[in-house]
Amino acid sequence: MTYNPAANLMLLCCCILFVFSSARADMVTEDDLLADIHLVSSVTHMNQTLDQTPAAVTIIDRRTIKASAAVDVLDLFRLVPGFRAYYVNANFPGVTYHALGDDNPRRLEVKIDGRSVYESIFSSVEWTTLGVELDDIDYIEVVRGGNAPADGSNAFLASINIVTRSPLQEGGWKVHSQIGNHNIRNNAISYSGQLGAVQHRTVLRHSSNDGFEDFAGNYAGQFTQIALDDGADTTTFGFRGLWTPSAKDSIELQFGFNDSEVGIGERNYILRQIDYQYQHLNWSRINSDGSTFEFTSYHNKFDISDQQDALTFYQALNFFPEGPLKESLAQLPDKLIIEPSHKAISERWDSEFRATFDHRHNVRAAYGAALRRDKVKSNMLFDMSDLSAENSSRVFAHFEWQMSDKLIANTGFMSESKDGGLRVGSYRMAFNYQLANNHTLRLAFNHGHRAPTLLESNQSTFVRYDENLILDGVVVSDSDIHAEKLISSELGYAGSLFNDHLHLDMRLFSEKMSDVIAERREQYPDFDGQLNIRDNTDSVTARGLEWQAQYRPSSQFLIHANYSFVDLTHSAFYRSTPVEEIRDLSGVNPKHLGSLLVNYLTKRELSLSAMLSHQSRIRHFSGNDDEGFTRLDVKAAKSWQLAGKDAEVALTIQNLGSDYRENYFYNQFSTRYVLSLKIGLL
Amino acid sequence: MNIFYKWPFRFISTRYLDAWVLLCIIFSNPLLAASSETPRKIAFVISKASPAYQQVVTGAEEKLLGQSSVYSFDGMLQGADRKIDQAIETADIIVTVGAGATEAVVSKGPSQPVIAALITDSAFSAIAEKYYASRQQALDSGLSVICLDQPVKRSIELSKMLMPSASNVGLMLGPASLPRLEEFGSHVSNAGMNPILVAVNARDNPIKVLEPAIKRADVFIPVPDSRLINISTAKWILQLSYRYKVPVVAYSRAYLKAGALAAVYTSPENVAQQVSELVAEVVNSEEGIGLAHMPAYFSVEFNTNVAEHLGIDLKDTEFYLERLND
Repeated sequence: MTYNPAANLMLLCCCILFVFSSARADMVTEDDLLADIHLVSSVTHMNQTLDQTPAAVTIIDRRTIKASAAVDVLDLFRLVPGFRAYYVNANFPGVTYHALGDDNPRRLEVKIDGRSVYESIFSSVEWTTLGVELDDIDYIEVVRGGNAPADGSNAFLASINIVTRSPLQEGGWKVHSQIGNHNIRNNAISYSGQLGAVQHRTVLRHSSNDGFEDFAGNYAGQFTQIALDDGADTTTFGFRGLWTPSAKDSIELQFGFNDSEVGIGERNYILRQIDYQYQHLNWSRINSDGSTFEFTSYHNKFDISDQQDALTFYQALNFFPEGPLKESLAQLPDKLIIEPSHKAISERWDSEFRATFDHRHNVRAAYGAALRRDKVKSNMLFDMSDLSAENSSRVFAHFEWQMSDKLIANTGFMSESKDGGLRVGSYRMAFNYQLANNHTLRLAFNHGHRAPTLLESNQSTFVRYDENLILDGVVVSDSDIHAEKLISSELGYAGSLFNDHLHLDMRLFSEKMSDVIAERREQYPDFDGQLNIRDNTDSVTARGLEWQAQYRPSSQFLIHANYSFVDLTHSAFYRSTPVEEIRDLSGVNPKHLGSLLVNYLTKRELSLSAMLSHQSRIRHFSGNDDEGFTRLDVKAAKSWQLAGKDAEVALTIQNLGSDYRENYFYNQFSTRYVLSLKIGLL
Repeated sequence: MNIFYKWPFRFISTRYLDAWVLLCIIFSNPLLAASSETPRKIAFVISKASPAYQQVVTGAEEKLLGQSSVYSFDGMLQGADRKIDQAIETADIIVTVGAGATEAVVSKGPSQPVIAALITDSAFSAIAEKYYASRQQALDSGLSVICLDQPVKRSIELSKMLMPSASNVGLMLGPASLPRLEEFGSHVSNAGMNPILVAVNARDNPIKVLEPAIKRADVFIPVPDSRLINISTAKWILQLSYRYKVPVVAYSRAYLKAGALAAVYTSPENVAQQVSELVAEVVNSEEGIGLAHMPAYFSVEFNTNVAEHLGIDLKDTEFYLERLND
């Protein structure tokens, strides 16, 4: 099928006309009084309550964030069942859901105020460059389970929307400073105020740390010492402006930049410099009948430079086996074949229009269309041509039908089209049945697709002497690479007890992924005789159970618990020639994950928290396993008023106890102490 | 027992449905099966099959079944024209739940008493003017109404109880409530506080209008208006109230959950209670026909997280309910 932008545009115009024609006179009705105000919107782009959504949702609100012993955003995902937050390097973390947690986990959509921060160059999220810290967040919506029908390919496994605090929620200057071991030094200053008619919140932040401690210990029976150069130094500026020209309209403008230097690598480290900038515009309109329009447009740009060891041709020849080939190559003149820096630029432009409406026969809908352009430039990833670009579009619609007072049906689809005629569709159907007041069962089916990313479909990395002589083939995308598939089903429960003080959420799930994109090895006539082919090589099945509970018996107590059991089967087509090799990677995801957070707030504004997190063993195909760990984080925070402004001092101790391993054996997470001070000024 | 006509049933043949329904009523209600009294037929017409509407019907039916008179019930959606026509021919009383249902029934000129419930005063007036020329003529024609809107005075009284030291009360009005500006102002003054009244209309910059008022207020009360005004201002009111630590006393449970300190509202159960009482009154004495009834019952709820943020010590809900009932 071919992509037809004119047809999409026409469909959109019809939808807009339909909504305009359904506007009604300005009169107060019971709908106006009964209408919900602020609810979950990440699942269908409609405001829904948790018992109406067609997927399981975790909300991490301000109270939970304050109660937690988190130091950065990543720590918060330990509170979400099925989510694993981990560190490839100290400042190169990853987050995944249920499966496929490699160095660049790329099946999770992460948005900040609706702007996708999933970037094209590594097909992943660069958490260090987000520029969002705990103080900036109002709440986080996490959709647990494939959300491609709403958010597109990137939301193959789940999606996250981080909603930052509105400029209206604070006033004046605020200073936040953190100091800790491992040379943790984080300082931020923010100002919330007015520029003419625009309310704004502006933040300037500098953060640095030394990463994990150097490793010295026994590994595989040998005493090993490894110096870890995995620190980071980042500077961030962010502006969020809000203008409400009328009651109907609100316009938000956000822009910012981030300048980071991060040490990354595996035993040997390189310095990665990232210049990141973004601009984000959002216009939303509420009509008199409650229907809404929203237009959002953004631009993200990463400018990445990896400082690596240069390699000359003669140095490379040292890796070749002795023989006639090496002798003949030695006749060629020496030259630089790997440059001392790998430079890459990744840009994304995205514009989306969406609308919602309520039909009188208990049907509500959200629909929209979007255009996107991704552009990537790299002197390593795309061989002779260093530039690759891709245009794509998507249309989506979601319907909610209240079939009776007990039963709600949700259905939705997303159709994505890319240059070259690639089109993928994802759809979902769910039924929510209210067993009793505040107790709802959900049965949902999801058929999602994840189109290959720009890098996955176009990568071509070779080490060349010149255009005719390839010394080493590294990675090439298969010409027939196609979309990954997910078929999932779930039986969920959402409910509350004890007069809404206890909220429960449970989910039994089955997720079957096929044509999963990874790398297979193939014979190739270069110095190591091997080329990695990026292709649809893996299949993954995940079945299990997860639950979360939050109990707030009073404003002083908060208890949050979650647990997930995932039975994973992961088969990887590792090598295609000369002999086929299929690997069982079923152990690469922990079977058990869970956490328990207990917070008590005294009458004197002293907040005491303890957070226990557990992860069971990870079995690597080769090398030693990651032993399971249970870590205890504690926090004490005292708040008070200083000249009418809020002030807080807090001490957080993470991993109170012995070290545990994060990803590589030499990444040892030792006890971390962080002292923080927040003061409101003027 | 709720014999409500549900949406999916539209796709099923309804030829024998009524007979089945009647049999079910007879055999499931021993009181009725044993009685020789002719049951009074109550027809419920609702705007939507959503929970709030159905809770009104279910609650009213349950309460009426517990009384001495004998009732039979029928239920239908506002779009079921044939069923509504049939109800107009056979029912003793028609209870409409929601503005849409009220309009669907009064547009057909029923001769029996009609009780309009779960409807705002504003919507009732608009329908009355459209079909009876005036609100009074609608009432004179036997149309009774149980208004959904809680008196603003009740919210002002609750505010005083929650914040005894409050001296400035902010009130937000929209185009629909603006004509009552003076009345609301005097309620605040009578409660011993100073009114700060702000009016927001669709063309105003809501933040520009609201911020100075919320900044000065000790407590803020948004008066319900059109959905546009309600939804578009709620977000800004709640964010500004968080910033200036000004409690919001709201008019709906949704507002409360979104971040208001307290809400005084009419719940579907409250409406059901009043509907059952009015139906019984009409059946027994024909009193109450053609009258506009203010909500006799109300619910009060609090958001304890917001109370903690504002440093407000809350007493039991009963404490406030009892005093507001006085």
